[in-house]
Amino acid sequence: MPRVRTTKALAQRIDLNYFKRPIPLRRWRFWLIVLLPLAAFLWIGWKLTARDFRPYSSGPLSAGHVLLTRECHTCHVAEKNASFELHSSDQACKSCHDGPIHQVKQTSEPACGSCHIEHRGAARLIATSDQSCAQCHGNLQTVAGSTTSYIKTITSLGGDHPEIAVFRDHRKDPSTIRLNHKVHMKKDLLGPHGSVQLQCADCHRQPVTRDAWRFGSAETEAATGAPSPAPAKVMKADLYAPDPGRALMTLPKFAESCSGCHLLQFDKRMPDQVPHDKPEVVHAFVVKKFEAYIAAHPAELREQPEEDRRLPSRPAPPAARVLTPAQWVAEHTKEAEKLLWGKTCRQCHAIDITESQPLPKVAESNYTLHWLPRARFDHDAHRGFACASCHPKAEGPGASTDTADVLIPKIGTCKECHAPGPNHVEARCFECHAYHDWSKRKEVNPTFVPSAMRAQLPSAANPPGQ
Amino acid sequence: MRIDETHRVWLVASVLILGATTAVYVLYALEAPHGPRGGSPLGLTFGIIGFGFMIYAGLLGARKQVPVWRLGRAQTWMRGHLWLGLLALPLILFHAGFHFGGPLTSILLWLLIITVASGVFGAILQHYVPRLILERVPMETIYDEIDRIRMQLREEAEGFMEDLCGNAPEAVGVITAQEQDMELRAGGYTALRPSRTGTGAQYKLTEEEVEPVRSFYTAELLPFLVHPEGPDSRLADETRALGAFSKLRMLVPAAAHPVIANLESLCDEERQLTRQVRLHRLLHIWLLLHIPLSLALLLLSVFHVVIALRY
Repeated sequence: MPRVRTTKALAQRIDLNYFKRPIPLRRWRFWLIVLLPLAAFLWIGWKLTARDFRPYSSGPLSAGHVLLTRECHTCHVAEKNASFELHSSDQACKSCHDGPIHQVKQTSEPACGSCHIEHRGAARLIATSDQSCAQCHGNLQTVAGSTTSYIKTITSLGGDHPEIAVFRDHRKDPSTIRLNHKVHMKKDLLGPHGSVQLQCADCHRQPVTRDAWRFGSAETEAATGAPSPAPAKVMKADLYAPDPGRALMTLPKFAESCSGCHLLQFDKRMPDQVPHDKPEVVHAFVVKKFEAYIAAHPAELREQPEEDRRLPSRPAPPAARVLTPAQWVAEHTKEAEKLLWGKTCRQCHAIDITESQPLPKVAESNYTLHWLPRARFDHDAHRGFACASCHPKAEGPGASTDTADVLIPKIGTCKECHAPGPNHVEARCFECHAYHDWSKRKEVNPTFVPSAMRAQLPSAANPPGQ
Repeated sequence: MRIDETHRVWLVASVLILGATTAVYVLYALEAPHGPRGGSPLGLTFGIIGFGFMIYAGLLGARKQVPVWRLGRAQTWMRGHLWLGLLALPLILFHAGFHFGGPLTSILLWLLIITVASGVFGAILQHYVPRLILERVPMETIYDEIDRIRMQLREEAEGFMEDLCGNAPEAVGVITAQEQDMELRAGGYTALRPSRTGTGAQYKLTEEEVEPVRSFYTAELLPFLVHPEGPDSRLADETRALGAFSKLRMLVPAAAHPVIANLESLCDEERQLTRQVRLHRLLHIWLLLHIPLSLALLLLSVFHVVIALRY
């Protein structure tokens, strides 16, 4: 007889109270429903009891603020009439960083947190977005509503950033030093020890450059009275600073950049060179040297005419004559200074020689050390690049021949590397421009105790031995 | 719940909401000076809507606790649970600006991701597995009663064997303590039902014929019925079982074949019950993750709201 599976037979197999019995799957689900939220609740309670607010942080603090990880209430302070809300306030920021106002004419002062976003990890707080700057510079207004001398609309480097001001205004280099880059950078230039090929670094160096100048020598030092280029005094701590005197090229000085080739000898009788100094100093030096010379060589007070070598235009020299030492010194000083002022110094300097003045006037050099007064540039950050790749008019066939030429690169050169997207370097405003003028900052009242703060940090942030 | 044409309105509405919020988010992310942030007005809006969806999805559990209340159709609640719960994830990601943030917010986001992912997994299973059960388990029974049915199958098998071979002392009484307990606790029809079902078979095997049948029963059939999910039995495999029973039929007279067919039918039902157990577990095991995590998520989310308002 085959098995019969009628509905009745099947129904009879079922215990009608089956749903009252616990089954493992449902039991597991029940306990997990109870235990998991309970675990979450206990975790919250435990952290609250321990007054550890780190779990509620919206993200890790920036590197500079990491010691404040457990000190939430340093920045999150109760505002007036608000007992529950503990938002971070500008006042809390200014208790350590009293950032001065950007521009006295600005229409509004943004809150610190609107540009500097905290709780985003180790990112630099200075790395503000272009939109933060464009809030004002996208359509620049002043508090008085008057027009501004600055460009009205700048939103990004890749977009509408204007040309560098010196090119925009067609300005010239105001320096009075006559310098021809083309001549100086040509091949086989006559150097102190034969022909040389000058390099940019022979004249343009950073203040803390430690390499000795290749044309410096003891003779040059003795002759010019200046020491050979020695590294500027740098505090040891400065070496770890981001800009230990390497951002800008130093002012090329005669002793460190020119003296190797441009000798300041004033008389064939003496190897000495005049000091590279004011005319008064040079004059005193020359007089002193001649006085010393004639005192050591009194025989030369008697002068014999050199008929054969006389130039036709020169007056005929008197017959043999005997001079007093004072006369001899005066005559030879005058002769030497005529050469110095008229040729040696004038080769580079703008010199005003007038008969009424005993000594000439040398124009100020007007050297421009910083061509970008409202931006910062760091040569050290660009040290791997050949100078001419950014300063094409510094050498080669198209090199500058005029001192008035401005040789800094145009903004297009910057944009080749500084652009948004991959394979480019930072292009946001903060890379070159600063919002706060920290030279005008106010001093703060120090209150934190680092050891106490570190003691509160978890062991990961406070490794043993530190 | 099958995701069929009755979900069309929900699907269209969800796609529209997702498209609109995505467009708003993209514009907002491009324009925001420092990228999208949860604390910005738009970020908060995303957060509030997303949290609202999460609460609605979570209320399904509460709704199931009061099935007789007139709170809308259960199917509507389930569709809303599915689609709004799914939308909660992108909205909360928009709220967070795709950042995980600190420890609490990271935990919240991971809980949400796991909850939604397990929910999607569960929805897919709920869509396909019931049909699979229908097709592959025609002898489907109530899951909670499977152990009891199995016990009955063993009793039935013993009855068949007794009818065919006479008393088999070594086979009788293979009922575990748990089964005895179940029998004691059983009520209703079970109490009235005879414990063994005979076949009423007229034919009894001779001593020579009994041996292979009994040997098959004790060595293969009974172990399979006691441990149906064991990996070793060839009766667990439909094709191999068919071969085994064909061989057995050749060893007994044709008159005994109906009883052998019944034993084969028992094995088939046992296999189907095993299949049903597996499919049922697959259909429900994700809930072990989904429900507890979603409750923890809602609890921590409330705390996150309080903390966000304070700081």
